[in-house]
Amino acid sequence: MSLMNILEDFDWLDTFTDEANRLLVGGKFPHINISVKDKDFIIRAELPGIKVKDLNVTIAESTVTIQGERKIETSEGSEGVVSFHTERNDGFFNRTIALPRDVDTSKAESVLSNGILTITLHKKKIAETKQISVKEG
Amino acid sequence: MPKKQQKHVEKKKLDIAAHKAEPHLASHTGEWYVSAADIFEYENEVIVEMDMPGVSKDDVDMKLRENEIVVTGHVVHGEDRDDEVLYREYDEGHFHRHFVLNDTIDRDKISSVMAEGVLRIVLPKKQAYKQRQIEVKEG
Repeated sequence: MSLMNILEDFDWLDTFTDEANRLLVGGKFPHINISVKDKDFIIRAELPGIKVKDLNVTIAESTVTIQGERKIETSEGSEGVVSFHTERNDGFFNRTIALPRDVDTSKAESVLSNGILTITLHKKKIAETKQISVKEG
Repeated sequence: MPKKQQKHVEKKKLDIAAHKAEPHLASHTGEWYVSAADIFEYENEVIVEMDMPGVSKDDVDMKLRENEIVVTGHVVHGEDRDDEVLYREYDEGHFHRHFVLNDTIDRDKISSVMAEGVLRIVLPKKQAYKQRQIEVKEG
């Protein structure tokens, strides 16, 4: 087996494990910060260059998922590009974040403004504790 | 073939010491970062796109000086209004970056647009540098 063949096998293995990791973990883009304000949890992410129509935020029982696609105009060798210098990344992203138990998933807001996604989640109202009388047995 | 996945680009901190003369850097508190940028050169123009999430059109300052463009973007920090940050994966900060221009750019025709946290600068080339088809005649 030539050296080139061996290297190709390792490339495939890297790609496969990356894919497997992504499927299991859901990827780690975008990076997020979580804050508390009054009775709300606020999740923020930096998502520059993404249009609202290319972004989906879904809330489930105990998770929130941020999913979408960024397109950069000439990243795939468009016509007419003489040269380019690239520092930014584009592509699909899909990240699922576990929520703390006391989040009210029936009410949530998400806003995308100036490239910042802000998801506001309200805390559930905690049921009041009730006194129960202890009977002698 | 798997779909292309977007990866996080780590923010580069700005070397404040090297930019001491910049007036903007002293006027705002907070961290400063070099914004990630892509440069696309076409036949007749150069396009620069810079990521500055959290910066709106009114918060961008763009100056043309001699042979360089200087861009400053101020971020209104959402976190400042929060009670507490529980979990952090990225840092908020302002953006600053210089671009050196070469002679091919027509300085009078530079324009820019700020949208979705991305500044897009269009730098048309001078007429003399635009590519032209030259007709070859039969001799």
